[in-house]
Amino acid sequence: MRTVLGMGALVLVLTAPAAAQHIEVPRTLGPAEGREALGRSLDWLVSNQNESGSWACGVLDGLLELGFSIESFYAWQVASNALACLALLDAPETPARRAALERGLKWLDETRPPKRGSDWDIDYVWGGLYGFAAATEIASDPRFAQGEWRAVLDRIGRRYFAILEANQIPEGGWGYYDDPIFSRRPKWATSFSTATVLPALERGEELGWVGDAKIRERATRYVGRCALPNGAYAYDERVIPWVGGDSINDVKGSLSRIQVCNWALHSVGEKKITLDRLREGLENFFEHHRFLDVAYMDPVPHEAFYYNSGYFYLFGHYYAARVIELLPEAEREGWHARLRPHLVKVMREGGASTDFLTSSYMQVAGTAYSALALELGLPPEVQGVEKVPEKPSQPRR
Amino acid sequence: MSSLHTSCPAFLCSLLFVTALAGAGCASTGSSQDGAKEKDEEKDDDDLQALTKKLELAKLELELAKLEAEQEVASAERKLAEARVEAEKARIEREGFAALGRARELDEARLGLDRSRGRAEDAAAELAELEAMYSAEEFATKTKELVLTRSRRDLEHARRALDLSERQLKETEGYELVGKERGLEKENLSAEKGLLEAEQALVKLRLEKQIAIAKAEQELEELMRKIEKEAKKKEKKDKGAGKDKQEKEGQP
Repeated sequence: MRTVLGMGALVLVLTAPAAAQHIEVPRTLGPAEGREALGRSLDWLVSNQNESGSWACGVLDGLLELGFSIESFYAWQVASNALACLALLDAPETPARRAALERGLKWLDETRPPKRGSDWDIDYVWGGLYGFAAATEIASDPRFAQGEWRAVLDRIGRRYFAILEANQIPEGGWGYYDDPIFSRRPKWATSFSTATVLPALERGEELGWVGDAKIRERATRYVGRCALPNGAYAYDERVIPWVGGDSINDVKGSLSRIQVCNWALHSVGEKKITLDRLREGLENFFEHHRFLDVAYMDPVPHEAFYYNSGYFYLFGHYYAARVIELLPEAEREGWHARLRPHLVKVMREGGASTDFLTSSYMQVAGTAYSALALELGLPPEVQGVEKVPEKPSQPRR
Repeated sequence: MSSLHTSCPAFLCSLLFVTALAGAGCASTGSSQDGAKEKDEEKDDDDLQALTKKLELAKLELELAKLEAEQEVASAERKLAEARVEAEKARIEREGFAALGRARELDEARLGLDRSRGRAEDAAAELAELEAMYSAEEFATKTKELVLTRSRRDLEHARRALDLSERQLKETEGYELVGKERGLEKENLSAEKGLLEAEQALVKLRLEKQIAIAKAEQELEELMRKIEKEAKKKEKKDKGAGKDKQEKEGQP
């Protein structure tokens, strides 16, 4: 990895105090370094696919996550598989990648949808969120928009939308835990999990999978209400949001949420989220990036400054890349060049990325997030096999 | 006792009435011989009055003795009941410990040891997992150091806790259970001794109180006999004095 960085245009080195604990990183990396890193992460995804077409395993495979319901590990496997499929969808196509994608999609089609794990643990919603989001994006790709694949994606999309429909809280969001008194329809949601599906809901309406536009409207309003005057997004909607001190709702605790929420709201036409708001969010992301660095690979959630968790890292970088894609084309490469070093520096020798634990689903999800973020910043390659057409589902606003 | 108690007031009334009549008869004499007689009569009256007062006191003392006997015997009976409860409690505790408690405490100590051993094994496994997790990690060097240091410390604490649990089990098996058994046996013996003492104390007290009441009754009866005797003596005197007077008044 150090060699990879050495190949980059080493102009500036991040010198923020908290970053001093980590290896030195160039301020920017060009598309060539990004492409090389992407190739390694895609190779890892292709070579680590199971015989069944799935990735990872659906059971607890480490001691550090004891306590969650048994079903949650399966739900996380499903969600990480959806992300892996997305990463292969957006990848420059090769026969191996295409074959892996098709096998992954077949597994997503054939595997049972996850169920609620316990009274409080409803992490199966993550299966719904990413299963549905991936289905809408893949169904929007001309390679999969017709024939048998369209039928497969219809089934996947509708199946995972059913989970979302059943778990949207009355206020409009989606969460992954419920509180006493436990109820069939949960009562707690977060801004960032809800934001992951806003554009997908709109696309799902176009695809005919979502019959009621009010579901998206309620979800959009939920995320909108989490926006705070400081530019951050509250973790969850509260009558009186916790702000000040070392709150997670400070910008420094909201760096990744800002990206996903800005991307989601702007994508569904929320006028308050202007291009300048997107730029401001990205500037904050890079200015305060050391807080994500410090939390990275901490196995205790929310233990770092401003309650950052390790798993905010790659999630936030993926959505930062998506925010960049909403900006005018001329300025995108400048932002992507600043984003790449933070993806490349945490990529492991074999191409895998993880930011929290080394559970198999975390490695699949982390590698997929990283690959997706790198893919978004790379100009289309001349393909030896087949040119990847531009997706109609890419942000339109 | 109750018949004596109820017949006393009637007897005393008749006695006082006789005494008053006798006094009225004496007032009509006037000679020097008569003066001496009067003095004798006055002395007899005083003696009778003193005896009467003593009788009153003896009656009260009898009442008091009965009351005291009633209260003290009741108190001793309560003490005996308490001693019985204490003895029963001590017996149940001793038998319960022998039949159940001893095995439970031993099992608890053994479970504590097993838990500590499991916790130490878990801590070792967690550390191994974290070390494996960070083995390929080049970026998060500080986090790796902090997390591994914490995990190694947890393992060290878990091993020390295991050592303590092992020592605790040895103490439990070695002397704590034996000591507790002996303690309970001692408490049982002490409670049985207390019960026996309370039983004996009650028997003794009952006897003492019976004696006290009997003495008070005896004193009362003696006084009553004295008063009756005095009254008869006076009646006899009064009759003699009346005859003399009639004889004197009958002379020309």
